[in-house]
Amino acid sequence: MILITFFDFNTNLNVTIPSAFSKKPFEFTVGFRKTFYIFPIAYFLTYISVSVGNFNLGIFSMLVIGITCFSYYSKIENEYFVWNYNLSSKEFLFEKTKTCLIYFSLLSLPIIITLVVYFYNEINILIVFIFLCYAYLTTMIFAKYSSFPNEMNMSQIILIGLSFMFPPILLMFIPLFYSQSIKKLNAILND
Amino acid sequence: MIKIEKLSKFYGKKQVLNSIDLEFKKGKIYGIVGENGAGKTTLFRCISGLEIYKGNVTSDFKKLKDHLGLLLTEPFFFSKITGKEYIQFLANARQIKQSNIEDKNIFDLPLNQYAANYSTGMKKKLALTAILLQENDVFILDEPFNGDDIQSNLIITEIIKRLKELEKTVIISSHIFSTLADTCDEIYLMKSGEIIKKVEQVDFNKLENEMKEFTVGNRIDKLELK
Repeated sequence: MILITFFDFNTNLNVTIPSAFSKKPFEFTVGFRKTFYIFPIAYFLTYISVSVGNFNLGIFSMLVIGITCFSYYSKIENEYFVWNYNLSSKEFLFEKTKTCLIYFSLLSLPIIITLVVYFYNEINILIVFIFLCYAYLTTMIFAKYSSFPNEMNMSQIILIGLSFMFPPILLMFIPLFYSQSIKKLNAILND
Repeated sequence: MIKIEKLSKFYGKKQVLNSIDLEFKKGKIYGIVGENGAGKTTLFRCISGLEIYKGNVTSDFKKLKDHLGLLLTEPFFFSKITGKEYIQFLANARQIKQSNIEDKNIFDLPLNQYAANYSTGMKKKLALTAILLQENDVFILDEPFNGDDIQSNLIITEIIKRLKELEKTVIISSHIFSTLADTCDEIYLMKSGEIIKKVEQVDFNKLENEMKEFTVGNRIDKLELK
């Protein structure tokens, strides 16, 4: 899974690709346009998982969506785009996280519904993985702004890498990155 | 009103702004002129709150930045965002509902194309349109005429005049003195991080001649053009 995060999924097509996410913060608009082809592949993997009765493959297809959304937050935006918000630092982070989790849920919904219908007995495992995706996405957003306006530093990347090996450590990292983000955002949002 | 008191800025040990005192009133247009590196952009970034500085910037607003439209010298755009989405994004950031954006496209920009692929002038016009639609009370326009064609310059000049009628505060920097002379109530001359002169409208011609004399002098004679 860690190897997958290093893969460049981006396309450089210059045509304007329609995006359903254009009314909210830019990450999903830009990200969707760069990685739109991943979604049919993930949905196809779900179809195969049902055809061959492999629940793990179904979970993997959902993780593909999660990692793709995760990659949308890897690049830091110009500080001007944060400065423009007339929100407090807490409100700003809440908005970013809310948008991310809602859009991830929408994109994974076909997979989640399929897995619930065809693998109902495994629903507990499915719920655990959904919440793990939420936790990693939240961590990524907080980590991104914890070094703002600079890119994430090596120690933050290592911490995120560690969390992939031992997910419970997220319970420590999420509050840590959150408090660092608030501090950094206060300077830009004049909070 | 915006009041700037003893504003100084250092980058490491280098001082780029030196104890600047300024006052910008509602319904007035102010010009800031000075050679490259005089500190105009840094001053704008400090007023906006994008830089940490020494001194005070106070205003009638609880948070000045929430009422401020900032046009950067070189506006930044994401790689896959259309012009329309950029305008929508900046409006949303200020909780402003904008509809019929195409009808407000006074510069005839290709709003459905990716903004990052626009020319320099088009990017500037898009960024200007976006901050105008944010319904700000104060505008800081850093080189708004850079890269624009003559028709756009005329439109921007008229926009600035309209903003004055609407009792907005506008602060502009420009290398094109005539555009400032056409619009500004006061012009400040900056040099090496200091405001060295304040010029009222009646003395604009005098300032332009002084600047020409100072900038051009007898430099061209050195070419010995034949």
